[in-house]
Parts: sequence; structure tokens; C-alpha cells
Amino acid sequence: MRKAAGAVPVVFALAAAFFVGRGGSSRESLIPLSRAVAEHGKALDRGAALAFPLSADEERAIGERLDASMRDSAPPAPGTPRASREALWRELGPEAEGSALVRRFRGRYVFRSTSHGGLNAFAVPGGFVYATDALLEKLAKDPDALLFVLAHEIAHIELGHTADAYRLRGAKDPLRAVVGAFASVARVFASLHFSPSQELEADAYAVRLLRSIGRDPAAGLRTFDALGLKEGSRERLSDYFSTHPGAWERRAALERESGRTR
Amino acid sequence: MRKSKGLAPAGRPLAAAPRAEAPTPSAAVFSEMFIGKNMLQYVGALILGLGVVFFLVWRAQHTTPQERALMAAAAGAALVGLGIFAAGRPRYAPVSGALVGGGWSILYITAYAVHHFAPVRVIESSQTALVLLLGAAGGMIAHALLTGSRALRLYAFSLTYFLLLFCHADLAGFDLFLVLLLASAAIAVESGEADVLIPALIGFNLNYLPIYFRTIGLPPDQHTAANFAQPFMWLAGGYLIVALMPFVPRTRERLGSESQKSLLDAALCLNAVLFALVAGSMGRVYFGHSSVPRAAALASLFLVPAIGHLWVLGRKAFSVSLGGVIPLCLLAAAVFEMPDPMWKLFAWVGVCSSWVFLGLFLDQPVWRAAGMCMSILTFMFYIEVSRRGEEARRAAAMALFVFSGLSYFFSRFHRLWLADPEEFEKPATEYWLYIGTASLVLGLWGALDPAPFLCCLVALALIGEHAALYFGRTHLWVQAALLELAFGFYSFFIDYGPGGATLGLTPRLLTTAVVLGAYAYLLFADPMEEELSSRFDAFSRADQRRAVSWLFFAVAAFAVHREFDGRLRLPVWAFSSIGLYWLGRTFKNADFRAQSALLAMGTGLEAYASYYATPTALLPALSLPRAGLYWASVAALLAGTAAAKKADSDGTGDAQAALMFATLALVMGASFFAKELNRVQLTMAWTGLGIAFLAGGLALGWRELRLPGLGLLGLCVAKALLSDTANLPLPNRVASFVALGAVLIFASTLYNRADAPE
Repeated sequence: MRKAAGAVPVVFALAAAFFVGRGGSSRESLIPLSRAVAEHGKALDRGAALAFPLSADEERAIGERLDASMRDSAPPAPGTPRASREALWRELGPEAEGSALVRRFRGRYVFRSTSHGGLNAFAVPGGFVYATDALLEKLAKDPDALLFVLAHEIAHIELGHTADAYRLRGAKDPLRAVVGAFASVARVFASLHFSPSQELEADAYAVRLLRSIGRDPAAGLRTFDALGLKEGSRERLSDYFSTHPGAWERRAALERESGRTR
Repeated sequence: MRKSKGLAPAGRPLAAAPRAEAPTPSAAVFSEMFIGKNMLQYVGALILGLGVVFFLVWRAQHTTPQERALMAAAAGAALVGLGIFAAGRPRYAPVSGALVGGGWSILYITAYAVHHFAPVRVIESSQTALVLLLGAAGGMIAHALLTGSRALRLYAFSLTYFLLLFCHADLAGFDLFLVLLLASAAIAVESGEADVLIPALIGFNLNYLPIYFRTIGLPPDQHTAANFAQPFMWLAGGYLIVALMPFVPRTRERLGSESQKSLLDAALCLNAVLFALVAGSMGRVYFGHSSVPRAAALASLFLVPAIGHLWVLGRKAFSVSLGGVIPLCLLAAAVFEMPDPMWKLFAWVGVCSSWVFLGLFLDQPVWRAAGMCMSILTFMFYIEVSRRGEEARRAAAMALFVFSGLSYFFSRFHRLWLADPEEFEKPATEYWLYIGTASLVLGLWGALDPAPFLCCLVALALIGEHAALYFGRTHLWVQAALLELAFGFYSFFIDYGPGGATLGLTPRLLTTAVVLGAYAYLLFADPMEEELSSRFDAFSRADQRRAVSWLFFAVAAFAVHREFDGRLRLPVWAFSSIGLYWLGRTFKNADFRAQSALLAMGTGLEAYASYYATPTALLPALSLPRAGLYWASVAALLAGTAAAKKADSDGTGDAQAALMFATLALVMGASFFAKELNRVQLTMAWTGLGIAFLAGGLALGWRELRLPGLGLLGLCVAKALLSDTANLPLPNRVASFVALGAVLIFASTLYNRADAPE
């Protein structure tokens, strides 16, 4: 009987090999370990944010200064295509802001477009969400994809990423206050390394936000297509040092979050 | 060092030194005495001959060509005669060889000069000149053979071929060299002196060089097989003349002594090496690339004689070993240049396996060793193929499966076939065993996605454990043991992507279940026998199983970390920590207890990192079952505290573990409140939790409950003073402070009543 017991795990393993093989693609990567480490490192920043929080008003004041310096001096002329694209952006913004997930700057978000830069969108502390005109033009025909971009940027603000980034630059960094600038150098490196985790968090948040307002939660995949983050892209060494996760990882996480499996 | 003083004691007379043994004939062939006594004579004679030539050149302005040629020939003949005369007189015998060699040199050079040098040119017809030249050479060689002098013999053959190298092509076509080589072989056989084959072979190949360069120098449009055939046939003809010599009965009869056999074997080796170098490189340069059919045809020219020597003649000489290695090198070079990596891999596996088979069936250790060395490079080609993409990798895996099967077969076959293997071959069976497993693992890696590959590794390792027992092979167990560790580590490096759930389990959970199942089987139903595994020295079974138990822990914890959110992760780890503690206590295993403590600490950290610090928006909604599970784990930890305090078979409780579980229960409870409640509620809830632990500890007399409770109450005081004072509105602040104060007074009352020990 004891001799036959060995057959049980063998059969189980072979059956699992069959089932897992049918479940979807997988690959060798250091990403799982890297992210596990990064998520725990990020908890230190979160602890700092909990102990020395930037209040919403403080963050808003910072954001207003930044917004004033970044805003286009000449708004788009009425009736032009660019004006209509910005109007769409402003129209979709409140819809995203209306989600129950949005709390910190609810009702205070400002949605702007800028003519500078390529395909990009970014969040400024205090609730200012920017999209470049090139991006709006690219996604103008897919409001759900555009909403994903909006939700992703709102996530950076709601989850405290923008506030963390500002605090790490010295505004209210408890470690800098205690041990001086030496520790801050290490923290800047750490924050660079951990930002891919924050991007993944923002993606996950965006999927949930879209679901909460009744939009297509998998719209992010179309956004990635438009941004050139194609399916089948391969992992590179630079993915471990990049501020954004690799396309493969990001798509996989999004598919898992949105419940869409291959 | 101690110095002796005074006279040293008289020692025994030294024994007479043993006389040096006379050198064996083979050792004396090129000894210093030989060089000094003989070779210097001939070199001196050659110089003398050249001096005469220069004299003839000087005299050329004063005499007719006929006179000059005659004078030179006469001088040569005189020297030869003088040498013969001197050989009969002991006093002059040492210089006789030099005189004879010098005389023949002059005669031979004169025969060459009368057609090629204008000052002494007396013969216009090239045929006549050739006959004269060959006549002089024949006389010189015949004289050398008659005298029986090895030095003169080798000198005569070398000079013959050397001078022919400078003859005009119309005078010495290459057919002549084939005839000369044949004649040399015949002379070697009839004279019973195989050494003449060595200068003959070198001379033959040197004289082939002009043809070699003329062939490869043809314009590219003339690089046809037909143009290649003639020069190649010349070369192959020469090679075959010598290679087939042992098949001639007369050769075996005349060259049957041990020393002549060695010389013949050396000549056969030289013949094979020179032919391989010249023919192989000429074909490669001429056609611009290597080709397997061409290499196979060339290889057969080595293989057929070598196999013939073995089967027909029963010869086991070094040349036979070389006859297996050279064709393998030729084929390997051709396979190496194959453009398609896939076919290259298949061909490589086929060639090296074939050589091992041949070596086994023909009982040729060198052939087997050559195949084995070549097999190592298989993996290098596989890496090259696998870089070409997934399709190529999968297809190439088939070649590795074949190779793996052959390797296992070789491993078994070596044992069965070779009753008494050479010393260097004794580890070969284990070598093939490892190669077989490595090929199988690499093949599986190439053919499967990482997750199914991991499952197959698990199956392979377990089968390996049982196969080791069945066959009694320690190294099978070693492989299985290494694989068991490898698949544990490998499971950390699989990115499962968006793979769908199977049987309600995500891919990682399913594969983790497979890994843990295998580990549990190894830990709790260990199939291996100590007697077998202890034959391996590098690590013991106990060490390996210990590593397995730690990998079990790490793989399980990592899977939970990756697949479960913060709210689910904590209770699962808490239950696991309790379970590990129970295992450690039941089986008296320190590793399980250490893992339990480590997991408990990890759970405490995760309570902050992945639960409290994680944004609520990214956690799943708090449902009743989840909350129930969470608090059930807190209850389980408290039960663990009770179990740890209970005396075990040693009669002592485990106070450390009890404190650990109690603290963890408190941390988890406090984290839940911190995450799920607002600030006012939090102070209240923490106060309640702290007083509950304190009261429970007092009631049960458990210090392990009281201390964490007190700690949490202290934290509540700090929070009230530092945070609530600044952040809470006044009514809430009043409530917070009043409640906390009342609880602290109540706690003090409890302490007083219980009269708890310090």
C-alpha cells in the first residue's frame, strides 16, 4: 500500500500538467518575486503617509501651484476639433468622478488637456488630471478606453501616489526629518523601483472604477492597444528598472482583474 | 640542522653503481649518440655535396656542361666508392656512411641538375631526365637497403621526395608519386623496415601541395565536382595504398615483429591524419562550405579500413582508435556548419549516439569516449535552437527526448555490455544517467509551458525516487533529490499571466498543490531507503529532506502571498502557523516549529503591509464569510496559545510559542479594527480588545494574554494623547478619553482583585 502511495502524487502531477497547460500561457520570469519585494517596500512609504499625512487641503495647494505652471496659456479655439476633444474629456471626467470609489477630492477634480507631449496622460496632486491632445485624438472614438485613462490617473491621486511622490521630494518626508538627506537618496531609488507596483495598482483601481459606473472593465486592453502595449511583447531586462511595468505583465494583470481570461 | 663534529663514523663502502642498461633498439633510433655518430655525418655530407655543386657552378665558366656533369658524377661515384672501401676497414668505418651518403647525394643532385640547371644541362628530354633521376634515386635507396643503415635509408627516401618537389610538373606528374609511394610501401614490406613509410608519406603529401593550391585556386565558376575528382583521387589513392597495407598477408608476415608493428601503426596514424587534413580542408575551401554527405563519404574512407582492421585482422592498435575519432571530427565539423539549427541538433544527436553504439559494439573505448565528449555539446546546440523562438524550441525538444532515451539506454548498456571497463570508463554509466535526465528535463522545458513543465518535473522526481529503489542506483536518487529542490525553486519564477481557473483553482494554486503534495509525500511517506541514499557522500537524505521541508514552507507561503488578498492572506497564514506548530510538536521537529514562528512573524508584518496599509479600494469587499474566517483564525491562535501552554510529553509547556500566538491574535484583531473602523470607533475597539485580553489573562492566570493586552492599552493611551487630541472633534474626543480612562481604572481593579504575580 505504501509503495502504491507514490503513484498518487505522480498521477496528480501529470493531471495538473494537463489542466494547467490548458489554462493559459505562462512563462519564466523574475517578476513575481520582484513584485513581492516591491509591494513590501512600498508599505514603508504608506506607513510614512499614515504617520505624517498630507491633508487634502495641503495637497490641493501644492497641486494648484503645479497646475498654474503647466496649464496651456492659450486654450483651444471654440469650434475646433481640439476643443471638441477637450470637451469630451471634461464631459467624461465627472462621470468617472461620480464613482463611489472616489473620495479624497470628490467634486473637486479638474480635467484639462494640453497640446504638449505625445500619447500621455498624467495626474497632478490635488485632483488635476491632464491628457495630451494626441492621446485624446487617438482614443476619441472609444469613450470607455478614455474613461480607463481617466480612472487610472484618478487612481494615482486617490491612492496617494501623487502625494507620496511629492512627500518623497522633501515636503513632508519623516525619514528626511529624522536622519537627514542621506536616507532620502536611498528612498528616491526605492521609490523609482516601486512605481511599477503603483502603476499596477492604478490599473486595478481603474478596472474597479469602470465596473462601478457600469462601463466596460476590459476597456483598458483597448487603451493598451492604442498606446502600443501590444499582446505578445516579451519581457526585457529594462522592465525591472522602468517606471512602468512591461506590457505583458500589465496586460496580464488587467485581464485577471477584469475577469477576462484567455 | 645539526652539524657533525670530528670524524664521521666509517661507513660501509658504497655499493658499485648498477650499470646502465643498454638502450632498447626503439629508444636508440633518434638518440644523441645516433645524431652524433650518424646524422652529423650525413648532414656534413650534404653540405659537402652542396660545396661541390658550388664548385661546379664556379667551374661552369671554364668547362662545357658535359665536362661539368661528368666531373660531378665522378666525384659522387668516387665518394661512394671511398665509403664502401672505408666500411671494410674498422679504423675508417665511422666515416663510411658519410662518404656513401655524400656520394649518392652528389650523384642524385647531378642527375637532377643535368636537366634543370642550364650550366650543366646536357639532357633535353624530360623523359630521359626522369629515368636518370629515378635511376639515381633507386640506386641510392637500394644501396641504403643493402647496407642496412636506418639513417641512410631514411635519408635516401627523404632526399628522393624532397628533390622531386622541385621538378617541373611535366617531369614529375602526380601519377609518379603514386607509383613512388607504392614502391616505397613495397620496399618497406620486402625490406621488413616500416620506417621508410614515414618519409615517404611526408614527401607524398608535400609534393601534393602544388596540386592542392592549384585546385583551390581555380576560378569560382570552375569549382565543379568533376574538377575536384581528379586531384582528390590522387590523394585518396595515396592514402589507400598505405591504409590497406595491413590487409596484404605479405605485410603481416614481413612486418610482424613488435617494433615493426609499432612503426607501421605510426605510419598508419600519420597517413590518416595527413589525409584528413589535406582532403578535408581542400574540400571545405573548394566548395566553400562543409557538407554532411561529403563528410560521410570521406569518413567512410577512415571507417572502413578501421573496422576492417578490427574484424578481419583483429588489430587493436592506436591507428584503429584514430580511425574512429577522425571521421567523427569530420562529421562533427560538417554538422556544425549545417544552416538549419533543427536539423543540426538532430544530426548531432544522431552522430554522437552512433559513435557510442559503434564503440560499444566494436569494443573501442576511444570511439565511445569521442561520442561521449561530442554529446556534451548537444546542449549548446539546443540553446542555439531555443533562441529561435517557441516553435523551434518545441520541435528541438523531440531531439532531446530521443537523446535522453539513448542516454538512459547507454547507461544501462554500459553495465551489461562491458564486463571489465577501462578505469576512465567506470563513471561513464553515471555520466549517461545524468545526461539522460538533463536531456529529458531540457526537452520537457522546451516542449511545455512553464506550469505543466513544473508538474512534469514533480512527476519525474517522484518516479526517479522509486526508480532508484527499483534499480538500486544511488545516482538516480541524487538526481531525483536535486530535481525536488529544483522544482521548488522554479515555482517562484513562473509568471502565470491571465491563465484561467481550473477546478476552481488558479494555475499557481493548482501547481502549488502539486508541489506541496509531492513534498508532503516525501516528508511523511518517505519512499527512500537509508542504505541506498547513504552511498552518496555530498549530502545526506536527512539534509535533503530538511531542505524540502523549508521549500514546502516557502512555496506555500509564496502562493498564498500571490493569490490571496490581504484580508484572506492573514487568516490562511495564521492557520498555517498553528498547523506547523502542531506538526513540529507532534513529530518533535525543530524545523517545523521554526517555520511556525517565522510564519507568525510574517503574518504580523503582513497585518500592516498588505492589510492595514493597502488602500481599501484595492481590497475586496468585506463579506461576512471573510470576516468570519478572519476572526476564526484569531480564535485559532488563541486556541494555539492554550495548546502551547499545555504540557507536552516532556512535562513542560512552550511559553514562547504561547506568547507568540497570543500576540499575533491581538495584532490581527487590532489590524482588523484599524482597517475597518473610523478613528473614534478605533480607539474604543482597541481599548475593548486590550481589556478583553487583560481580563482573560487575569482570569486564566496567563501572562501571555495579559502582556499583549497591556501593550495595546498603552498604545491606546498614546494614540489618545498624540493623535485623537489633535484630530478628533471635541465631543468624540470626550467620549474617547472617558471610555479609555474608565477602562484603565477597571483594568487596575482587575489586577488588584486577581493579585496577579509580577
